[in-house]
Amino acid sequence: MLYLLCFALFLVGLFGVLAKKNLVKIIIGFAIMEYAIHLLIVMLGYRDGGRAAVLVPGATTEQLAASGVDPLAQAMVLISIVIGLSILVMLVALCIRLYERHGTFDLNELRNLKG
Amino acid sequence: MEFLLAVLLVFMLVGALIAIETRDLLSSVICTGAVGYLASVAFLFLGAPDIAITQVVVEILVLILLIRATISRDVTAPAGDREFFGLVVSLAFMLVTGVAGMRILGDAFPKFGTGIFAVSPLAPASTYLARGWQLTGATNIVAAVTHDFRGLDTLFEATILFATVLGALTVLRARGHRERAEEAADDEPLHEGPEFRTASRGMTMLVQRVARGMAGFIFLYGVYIVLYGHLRPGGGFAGGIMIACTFILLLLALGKDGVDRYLTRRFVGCFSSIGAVMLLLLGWLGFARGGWFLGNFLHHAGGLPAEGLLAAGTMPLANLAIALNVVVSLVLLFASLAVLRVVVRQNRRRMVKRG
Repeated sequence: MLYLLCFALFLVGLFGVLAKKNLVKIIIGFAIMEYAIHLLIVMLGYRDGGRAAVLVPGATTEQLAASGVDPLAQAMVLISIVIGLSILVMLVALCIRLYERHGTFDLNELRNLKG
Repeated sequence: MEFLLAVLLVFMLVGALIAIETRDLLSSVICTGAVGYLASVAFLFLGAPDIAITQVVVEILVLILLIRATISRDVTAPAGDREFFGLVVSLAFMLVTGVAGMRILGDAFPKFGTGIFAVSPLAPASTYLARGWQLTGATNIVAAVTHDFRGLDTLFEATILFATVLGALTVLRARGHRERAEEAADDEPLHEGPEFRTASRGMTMLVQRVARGMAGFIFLYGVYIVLYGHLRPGGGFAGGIMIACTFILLLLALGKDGVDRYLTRRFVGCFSSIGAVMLLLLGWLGFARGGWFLGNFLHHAGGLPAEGLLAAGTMPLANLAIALNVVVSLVLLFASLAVLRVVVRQNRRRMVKRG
């Protein structure tokens, strides 16, 4: 159920990337797909009644091993978030550059300008 | 728990749909921000405070960047006649992806709430949880994974960030041959849009005062998040972005002239690569002293206190290096996005639109 909702979010982002004609909308679609994937991976690492993978004072490592959530999935998502930010920065930079050159975010117009 | 997450996800879906479908670009960007913040809340419920913190600060930055990119430009979406064929192709593509995804998500993944531990007890995650503290000295196991067990991932991540920012700077600052020729051709003075004036002089006095007052606190909190990254949720990336946000706040509020006093070009030039160099140096020191690249040689040598700031050997140093890298990259990038290239030649824009 939760996985499917996540997947629906992913599909919304995919729709934005595929069907929209505005460059900013396409960037937003990418961002939404990213959120969906991150959420899905963290959900896969969750266990019922799980606590954060931090050894708080007073807890033993046995307790953490018995009830902690998956730190590997979280580490992966942490790295993925920053790479997502880099990709977004790159996209925004290209987008602004295109706007400065052609004065539009519209893909149709950009296509007509070819040549 | 499941119900709560489902509600959050439904809200995210609604936000995403509005973001994709609305005609106004600014509201679309703000809806994306709402989706991101909801994702951050969901991470908090899923026992991932590190990711929640990082997601919030990244979201702030994404919002600033996207608003900067869209505002005062074409705010209304173009009407544009939809291409029927393109729409059909994209819908077909989505259908195929949807069916494939349903199949995978239906049975291939373990049920929500079981985790990897139920499927394979020997998964690395259980070792990290059980022995992470013992092996690295860090109480934050996620930080132990990113900085010690999988330090290479973090190194390459920092490299990617660095490379992207360099790429973005190149894209933003390079001027094509044609443009240069055009500029040489017409002697018309450049139009300076309202954006340029805002960028150089800053906002009103009230905003400047508040921004100056806030900046110190945000900076301090960022430093705390960086330094305690191996003990509490947080870390170099989240803290680094917070510190970068301090400078971005000052840049937006005080304008270019004000920021020049706080952040001189020489300062940025000195620090532009120090973070990356520091991380590499740590890696090679680990090679020399501990036997493998990025090895936590300080922790293996022993003699460190079991608790507190010095507990985890090289990890606080690595956090510091990453934070430096992030701060300098983002501030450089933002300065170039917001200040350096705001002189838009309005006459050309109009010409393009008419054609």
